[in-house]
Amino acid sequence: MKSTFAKRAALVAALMLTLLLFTGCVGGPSEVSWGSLSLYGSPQTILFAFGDRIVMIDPLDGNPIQLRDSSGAARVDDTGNPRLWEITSPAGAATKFFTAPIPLDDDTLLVVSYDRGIFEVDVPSARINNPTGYAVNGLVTGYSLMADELLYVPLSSNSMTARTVNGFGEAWRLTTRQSNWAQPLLVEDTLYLSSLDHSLYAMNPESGEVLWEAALGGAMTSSPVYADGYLYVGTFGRKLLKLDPQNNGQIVASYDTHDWVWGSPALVDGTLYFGDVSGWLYAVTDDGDTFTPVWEPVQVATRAIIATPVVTDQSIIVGSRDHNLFWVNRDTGAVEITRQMQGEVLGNLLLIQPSEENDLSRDLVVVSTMNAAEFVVAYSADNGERVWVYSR
Amino acid sequence: MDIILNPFVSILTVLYGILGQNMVLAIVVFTIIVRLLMFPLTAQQMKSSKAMQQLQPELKKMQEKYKGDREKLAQEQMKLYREYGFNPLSGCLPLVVQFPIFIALYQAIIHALAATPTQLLDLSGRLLIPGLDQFIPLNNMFLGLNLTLPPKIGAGGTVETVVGIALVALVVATTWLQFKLTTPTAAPAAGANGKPAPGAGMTQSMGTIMPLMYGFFALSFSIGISIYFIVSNIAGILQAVMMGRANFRNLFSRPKPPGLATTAGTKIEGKATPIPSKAKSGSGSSGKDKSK
Repeated sequence: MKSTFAKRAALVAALMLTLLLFTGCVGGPSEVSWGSLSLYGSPQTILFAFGDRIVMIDPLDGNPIQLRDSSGAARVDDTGNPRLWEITSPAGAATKFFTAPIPLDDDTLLVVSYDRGIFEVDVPSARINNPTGYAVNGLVTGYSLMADELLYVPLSSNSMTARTVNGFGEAWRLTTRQSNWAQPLLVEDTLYLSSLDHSLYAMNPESGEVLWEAALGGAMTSSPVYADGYLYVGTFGRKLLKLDPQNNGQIVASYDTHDWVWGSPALVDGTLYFGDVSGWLYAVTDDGDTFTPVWEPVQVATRAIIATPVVTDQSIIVGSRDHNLFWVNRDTGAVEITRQMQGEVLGNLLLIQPSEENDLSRDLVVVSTMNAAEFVVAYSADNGERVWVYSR
Repeated sequence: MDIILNPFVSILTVLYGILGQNMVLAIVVFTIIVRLLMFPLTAQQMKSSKAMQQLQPELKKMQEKYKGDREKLAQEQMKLYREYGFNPLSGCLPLVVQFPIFIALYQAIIHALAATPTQLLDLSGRLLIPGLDQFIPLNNMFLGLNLTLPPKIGAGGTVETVVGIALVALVVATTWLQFKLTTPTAAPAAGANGKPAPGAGMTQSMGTIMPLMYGFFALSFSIGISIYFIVSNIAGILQAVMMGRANFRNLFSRPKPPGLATTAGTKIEGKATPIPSKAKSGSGSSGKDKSK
């Protein structure tokens, strides 16, 4: 009897092993994404959203912000330890925050979760006002945009929904042929959405009426950049495109890249800086109906560059999936500083400059990694010196 | 694994483009192609399994005869294998070769569907044929269902629930059917104590556990994978039928108590089954048992 039981147990174990082999190295649909960094409040703080939580960090030293009462005294928990500003998903680790929180008013943040809808966060107490979330009927991977009392939420479930800020009821919904992972862009009276279905949509922001749709020959995961009457967007068709929004999104200029362009370009002083998923970095100027490279593209990284580069007076700073952060000379394209990190750099980079809103004495570039030992790291933007690390 | 996986992802994407950008059709055709390419190995494995089954009674007798002498037992087993021209490794080798290929096929579907940003990012390095970018991301909707997500039974609408239940039921049914049709009839009682052969109990357990396990997979994994399971099972059944190795008798046979287990209707009463007819393992029998 025992022998039979042992054999059957061995059989189940063997089948479970098969399961592990089958599923090995393959993530599920709710796989964790890279972190999002954003600046918030006065004095300035950094909000870091990753996995199922959001933390508030002091840009001066990287320490988590302590909660304080109205008199300024530190709040403590039941064990007498200081309470830190941290939000965890009410639904536990199953819920992910793929995007940065959006300020709603002085004391309220909106947090759009991957699959549990929209949460309202009371900032002074670091508590979620609506633990069940406002449903959006779809999965959210891309950043939402709030403008004129409407919240535009791009959905992985082949649509975008516009929600009223008061009550979050649906004002309208755009259906697309594929997922939408890019943040919508509002320019004057037109809302633009670049979609994974290879089209760029121009819409009436109030009604959702599609004004025009331009097929661009490749998927898009990032927002277009608007400047001087034109839109610039990178695609999986291995191109950077310049579009004329006054002419139904007609392609005015095109620049070939080595691989897919994932992130939005950074436009500084008339030059567009962007990377591709094979680690190439580009700098091009817009010459009307052509793009002219400032220098020949350089493969600075061995793996993907997906975040928009940070541009300083001297350097272009880019992070890569190969765990490195690079400082590249703006004039020559030469890599001048490389900083190796413990995790993949996929999230957005923040450039924080000294201002009245903070006590910084120098420009900081803040970057997040996929490794808990270096969740957020701040470097001097000028010389690459490591200033602080936030880890868990 | 990338050596197998990346070409698989590329071919799957090419098929997707050729077949009107229909992911389900691409999965179906690709699974059938892989099954056809693996046919020689599958045939070899089935042949070997059949031969092993036919040698079981003789092997059992030897095990009892040389209970305390492992060395002698091994020698006699090898002698028997030589006598019948049977290579014991010939059944394992096809399995060893097939396993990574089927894992790669499964993973190719997951990677090609690219449900998350990280998976989509990975996909860029896996497309080995120029020009496939135009199809990315692959359309993952089928009958209003997202192929990258598990079936929403109860959580979705009525259509989603019905299709979800149907998919899981099809996975369980085709897994069970394939198992039953491709497994030789349970070995008869072999020992003097009348107990059924140890392998038979294990086979019975697998016949119950495997369909349930695959049903659990279908509930947990994406709908695209369930489609792969169903197509793969049906292809396996058709292969067995075409080779004349489908054991239809197994579909309706029920486990019998010790001492009553039979092969081809022969009552076994604490006695080893006679030696199988010599070295004819290659001929298909469609359920006819030769160990009489």
